[in-house]
Amino acid sequence: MEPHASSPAAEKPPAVKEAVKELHILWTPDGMSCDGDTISVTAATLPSIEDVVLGAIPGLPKVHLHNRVLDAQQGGDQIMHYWHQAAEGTLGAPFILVVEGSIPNEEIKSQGYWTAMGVDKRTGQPIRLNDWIDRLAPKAWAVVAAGTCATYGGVHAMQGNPTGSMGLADYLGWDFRSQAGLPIVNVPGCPVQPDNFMETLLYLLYQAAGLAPMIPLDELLRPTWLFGKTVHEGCDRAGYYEQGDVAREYGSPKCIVKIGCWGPVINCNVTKRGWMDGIGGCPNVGGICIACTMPGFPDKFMPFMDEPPGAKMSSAVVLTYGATIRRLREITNRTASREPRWRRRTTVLNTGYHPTTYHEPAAATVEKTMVETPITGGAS
Amino acid sequence: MTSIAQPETIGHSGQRKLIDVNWDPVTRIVGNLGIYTKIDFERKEVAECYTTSSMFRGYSVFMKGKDPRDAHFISSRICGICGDSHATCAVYAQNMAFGISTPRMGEWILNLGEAAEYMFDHCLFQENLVGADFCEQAMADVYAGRTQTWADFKVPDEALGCGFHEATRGVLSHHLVIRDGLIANYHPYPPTPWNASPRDVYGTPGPYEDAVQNTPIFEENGPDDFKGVDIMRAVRSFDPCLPCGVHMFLGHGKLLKTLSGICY
Repeated sequence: MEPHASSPAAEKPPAVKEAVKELHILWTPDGMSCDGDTISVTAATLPSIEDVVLGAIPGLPKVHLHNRVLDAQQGGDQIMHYWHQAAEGTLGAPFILVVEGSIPNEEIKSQGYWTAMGVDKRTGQPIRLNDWIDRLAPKAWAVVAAGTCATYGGVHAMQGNPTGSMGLADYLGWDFRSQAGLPIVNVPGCPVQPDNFMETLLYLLYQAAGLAPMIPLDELLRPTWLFGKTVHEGCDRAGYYEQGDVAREYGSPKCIVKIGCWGPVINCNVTKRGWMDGIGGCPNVGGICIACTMPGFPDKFMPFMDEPPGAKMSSAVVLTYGATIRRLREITNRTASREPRWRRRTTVLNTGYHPTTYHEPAAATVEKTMVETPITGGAS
Repeated sequence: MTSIAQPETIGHSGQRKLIDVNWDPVTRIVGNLGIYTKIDFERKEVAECYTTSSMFRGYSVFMKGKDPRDAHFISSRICGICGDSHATCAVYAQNMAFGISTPRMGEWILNLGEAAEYMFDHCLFQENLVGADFCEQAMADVYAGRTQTWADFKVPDEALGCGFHEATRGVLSHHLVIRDGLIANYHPYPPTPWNASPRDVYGTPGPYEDAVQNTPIFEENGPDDFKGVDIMRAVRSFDPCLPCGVHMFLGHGKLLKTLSGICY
């Protein structure tokens, strides 16, 4: 895998410029996947997939979703004819191709296939996913990789796998450009965080409608606003780390970097965003970050339950410094935890009030003064 | 419209006119499932049914040589809807191999997590009531001071472990062999590969196939606009979940490499 060095902005001008009024989403979970990204996205709320499909969001093109897990039809040709039409160029509207699952290597064997979707009516043979990608990616308005398998290979591409699996950009090329001049759009996560995916899709639909500029992507083709920060930067346990107060065993609410969390070096917003409707987020709820959004996942982070090698040095420094800071803060905290001494029942006023410039007048004088003193000056 | 091929007439079954109808892929299930049938539209009956699944990833292959503590992190990726069941079952297998048992409070948490999994995965299940019972009983342990949720362990050089679990779709088991402190053999046996099993070498139909065959068809559409809702309902009643569905073997007597002598 080699991320392309150039800017994500297209070198060649977009082929499709006019605002798209109607659009198909051809979403295949038939890469080397578990369908977990589709399942995950059903939990999205910002926006929900239902709102997008039912036209509840102003400004979007009319969307036709084709995903076998979520389709109201029974299966077979009832759903596959859209895919055939897209391949033949007779769909009648642009389409976004969403790929879920890693792409196997079908070139490493003399017979058989690793994954397929639908059947070729002429030959009766399964149509390999790789063939669908070859047919559809060059015709797609945009190509989106959903989840870490599709983006970078993920679990099914781990060391020792028999299928030679890889990410979509490894398969199509990191410099791939869609019909609209977009690079592949990568939304990693195992599975993809529901709102991260739907927000990206929403952006692309607004872009298709002519209401948003080119989607900003980083060098790993991820939306910049979603993957620019680390897990640690949004983690509600990060304060413990700063004070050198880390968990040494499971079941602790403190920073879990010593028992395997990779959060400080992983690009993911799940600690800030939560998982479903703001609830959850792996380390927030006690799960070590296993780096599931990263191109190096899973191999570079295994064994997951050991302390990351790089964390040994940094945590040694932080633990010394942090422990000192923590003790000083404990002193400050003890002071802050006591009420000021004057707040109690006594016959003497101890608040520090000193009546040096003001003499309390008798009640009658107050009335007289208020009546007799003429109002002078002022702007009214 | 489904895929419908030319009618075929079978002599020995009394001149039935059978039409090939298939649904590949089947919708609204997880994973790649294909259902292939021969339908007698005159008698409104499914004469034959064959199942297939079209994806192989090789978990048992690539889990070899990995740290046994990672088994639940990896095997939970087998399935996008019942990943939690795989993680739990892997933990049972790890516990056995490591020679430990989950403390009572840990067991409550595990069971509550599984209850949540059931509610998410099998949302028609009325787990709310059972869940409330779990909460009440778990609180009794807290009052008694039994709050430990995990047990210390050391990965042994050689060990066996297996876990059995009533997962959402049926019985799930994970089988683990550790050699030299690493996974030498790992086999998950989920319920769907049993249920979706195609015909065996003797021609015995698998459960889906058996359920669909001879099913009377109530749908009134003829061959031209046939949807197959009766057949798909029969199939979906098994709650199919196919990502774990395809398991491979090499056939009779073909040995590639022996990595572990034990597999049970």
